[in-house]
Amino acid sequence: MSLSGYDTSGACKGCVSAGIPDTVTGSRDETVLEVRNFSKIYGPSCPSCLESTGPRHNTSVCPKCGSTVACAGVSLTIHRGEILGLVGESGSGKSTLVRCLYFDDEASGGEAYLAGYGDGRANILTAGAQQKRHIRNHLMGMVYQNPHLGLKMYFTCGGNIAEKLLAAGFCHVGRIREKAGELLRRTEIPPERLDDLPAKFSGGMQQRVQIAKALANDPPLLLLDEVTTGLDVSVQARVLDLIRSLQRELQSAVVVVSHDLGVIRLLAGRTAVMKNGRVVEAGLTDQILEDPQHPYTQLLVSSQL
Amino acid sequence: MSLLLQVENLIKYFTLHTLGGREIPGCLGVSFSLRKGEFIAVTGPSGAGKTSVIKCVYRTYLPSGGNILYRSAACGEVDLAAASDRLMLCLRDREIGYVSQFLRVMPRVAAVDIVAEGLLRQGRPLAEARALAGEYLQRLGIPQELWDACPATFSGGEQQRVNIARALITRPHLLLLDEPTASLDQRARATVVEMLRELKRGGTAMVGVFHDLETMRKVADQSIVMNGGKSMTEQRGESSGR
Repeated sequence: MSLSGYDTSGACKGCVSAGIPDTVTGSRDETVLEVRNFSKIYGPSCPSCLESTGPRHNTSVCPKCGSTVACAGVSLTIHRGEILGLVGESGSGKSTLVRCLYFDDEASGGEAYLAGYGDGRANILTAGAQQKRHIRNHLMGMVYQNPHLGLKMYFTCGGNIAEKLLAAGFCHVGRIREKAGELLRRTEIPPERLDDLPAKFSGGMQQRVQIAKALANDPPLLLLDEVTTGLDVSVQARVLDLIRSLQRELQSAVVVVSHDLGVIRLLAGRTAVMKNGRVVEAGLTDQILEDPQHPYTQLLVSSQL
Repeated sequence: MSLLLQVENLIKYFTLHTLGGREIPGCLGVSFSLRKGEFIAVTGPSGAGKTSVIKCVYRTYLPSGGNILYRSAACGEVDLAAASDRLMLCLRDREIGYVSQFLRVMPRVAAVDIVAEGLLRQGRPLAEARALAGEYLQRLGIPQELWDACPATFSGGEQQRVNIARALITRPHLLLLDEPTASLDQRARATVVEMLRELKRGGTAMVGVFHDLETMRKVADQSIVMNGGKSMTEQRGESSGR
């Protein structure tokens, strides 16, 4: 069965990088991050760790050696201008994954390739400490659930952002202040609060300062770990809208970790579902929510308020 | 004119693991084809599988069997039943629109920005996108003082009009509609029919689920009647040959 001949006008970048006819396009792939077979095991680990944990056994703890298999066999790809959702219950390994990608924790195995580092062909997980610092400072932004992890509460807002800018190679004080002011404006923090301490801010404001800091180096990859958890709903809506408009403007690739399906529905185009350290299902967000395939995803979706 | 969409023996059933793997049928072997500028209506009682058909085409549902051949302007012939998630997202941004039954959008975003969003995703400048969004809202009879308000507080009919505006504004090549006129009054319905006809003249092909047969007859070139997941009859509508 075939449809009659088609014209090739109006080729779109997204289609091109979706691996669709090269002949139609000829432009290059826009993959920002590719994770392959990633694993993280806390504890001594033994040969039976992987086969005796996971969704099938409904546990992440190896019965033989007691190690916790936080992530195993996780593979993901994220492209420019795309928001990928990562959902799952507490302990499913979603935060572990982003923390290891940001080098807060060391991966046990697997590979991760980031556009902009080693031509996208060098495994960032095995990079040296100095290279990792470079990647963090120049190619990534991270927003933690707890603003205390991402901000120095007794440094000024401007100081927090300047720290990231200095690390990314900015050195002119005037330029740093200018850029910090601009970031605060974009995250809707009154510029006159540039010299105030985040410790004196509300939770929602702290979160927005954290986002401003994470965006300071114009990162191609932004990692958001439960950014709206714990915020009240009015602030939550504002933060979500902010993330989406900034993302559209900057065309960053974003990984959104959340246990809240509502947040994922509003932000993410594609979503991966994790359970006991494994990705059990991945697909278009609306498909995951309306036509979930895996028993766990069905349970998750049907449990939503 | 050449075919834009050809659905062949589309099958969708849902496996409910929470009920011990029970299988619920959605649609069972539906076939139809659509040319540029054509409108096919899907009618039938509730639970007949009408929405399953269009959700499979939009890939909100993963088809269980069959082919959905779509002739993309950018990527050539694509089987939507097997296309990658990435490609689907791209086609949704550029070529395939969807009007859902209910509006579900980001809270605290103004109606005009919700309508403009599709244009922004296509890279149109903000001012231009908002201006055009205003025109669509105006045309659909949403008073100007509501443009900056969030649709959460709108009436059902107003929400549905915002929903229609945001799908129509991108002038998709293929538009899928799930009971687009269900909660609209007579006048709004007439406006929507007029706008759909304009889009058709511009070449947009449409698949629409309808309960409202009167409106359906005004826009549809052909219709399929579904029952129990199967398409029972196919007929040409009165608007065919326009």
